[in-house]
Amino acid sequence: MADQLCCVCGKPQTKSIGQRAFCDEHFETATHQRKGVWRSVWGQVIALVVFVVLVYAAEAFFKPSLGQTALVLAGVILAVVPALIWLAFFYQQDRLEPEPKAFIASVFVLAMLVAAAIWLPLAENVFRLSKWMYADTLTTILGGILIVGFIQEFLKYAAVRYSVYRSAEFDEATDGIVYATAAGLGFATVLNIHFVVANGGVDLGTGVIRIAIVSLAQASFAGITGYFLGRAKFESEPLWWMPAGLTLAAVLNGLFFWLRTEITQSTVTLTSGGSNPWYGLVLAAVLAGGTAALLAWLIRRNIKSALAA
Amino acid sequence: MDTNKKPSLGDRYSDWAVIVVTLVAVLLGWLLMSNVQSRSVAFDSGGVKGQMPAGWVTDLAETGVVLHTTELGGSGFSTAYQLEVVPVAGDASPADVASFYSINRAQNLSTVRVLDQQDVTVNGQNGYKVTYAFVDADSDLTRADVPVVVRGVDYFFVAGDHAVVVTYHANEDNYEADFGRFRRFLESLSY
Repeated sequence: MADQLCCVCGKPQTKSIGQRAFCDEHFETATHQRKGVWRSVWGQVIALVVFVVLVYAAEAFFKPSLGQTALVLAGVILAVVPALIWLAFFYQQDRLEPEPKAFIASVFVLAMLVAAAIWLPLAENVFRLSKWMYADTLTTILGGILIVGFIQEFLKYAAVRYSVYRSAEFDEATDGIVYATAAGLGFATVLNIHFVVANGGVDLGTGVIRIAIVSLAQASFAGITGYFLGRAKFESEPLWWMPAGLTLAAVLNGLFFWLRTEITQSTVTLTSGGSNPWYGLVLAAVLAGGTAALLAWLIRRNIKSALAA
Repeated sequence: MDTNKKPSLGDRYSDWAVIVVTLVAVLLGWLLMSNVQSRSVAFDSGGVKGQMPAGWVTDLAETGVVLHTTELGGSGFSTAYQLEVVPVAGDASPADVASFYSINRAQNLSTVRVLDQQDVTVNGQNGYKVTYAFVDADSDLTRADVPVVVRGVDYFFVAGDHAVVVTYHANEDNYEADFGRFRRFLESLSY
């Protein structure tokens, strides 16, 4: 057993999980239940919904008359809020064993960079999605999965896999979810800022709902990829494991945005518009809460089976 | 560093597998995009037959215009194709028709600039091509949109006692990218 080295730090092996070698310290962290992560995710979902309701109510009550510059500025500030809410909950819940702030910030910024430098030019200049993707339902779903889903999820995966993944700080399976969530929120922040700027500012009420939907959804998809990444580091998985994780996230990504469009559309009448964005927020909150619950259950089950073995 | 009792295939090639799966998915997406963008429907209007893009909005606003079709969706100036059939004198050449249109265009569009003009051959038919640009400001004064630069091209062909004028207008940002599709539309025409 001593000729093997810990897969996290390289010290001599004392324990193992499946085919993976661990030292005492990292066996402890790899089988550690980290409830703070899940509390921070659920806290974020609830806090974000409350935040949206407050901004929507304030907008409806005060009816602020903002110029275009002010609307853009307000929109950009709103676009950053979901990430700040998650960070606040995460550090509050994870204070006993916090991830290095620099690592979380690096992944967040890296995801922002790949979103701005790779995704947006691809979507607008290469694939020019708005010109063909909404031709019919099947095209919307397939295009949403094959192009939007796969490219977005790959970029978020790459932001984690080629940065912190090999570091000794990535020492728990749950870290995959933590760092991938940070990547998802960084990605969502750029998407939201781009939406605000491209539209010359947004209506604060409906804009904040869209921002929350995109943030919750992108963080959820990334969380799924992060779960597969975490397992791939701490357990010896088959060749199909990581591609399957990315595919699952991409399929959910494509289906979610199609479904969101379907359920938020309503009949246009003389007294009301053609969409109800609140349904989209409910869908995103259910997706984020459901994903967090599922991943928490899977992590707990993995740890139990690792300890039993 | 040996961190496994026996590294699995997943340990060794997982990164590559993810890249390959992503590339395959994007390639399939690209094929889907090509398929959707090449979908077309047949039309037969004013003695001109051809294939126009599927899903576009068609209207006949002006006299002589046998087809005016506009891309649906997107924001700002929508890409549009127009087909016009006009009577001409028997000895008129495509360049003569183009000259007449250039004067007309300059009268209607104060900001128009001709960029290029040349003889062309399309499907074995001799014609004349004029490329130009103009500024399009929405006539709806309640809209606060910034005017956009539109690039256009007119193809002129003469067949007997009438000329066929094929026009392509697109936002400057989309002009080059959308030109291939217009080229297919142009080559599908018979009159």
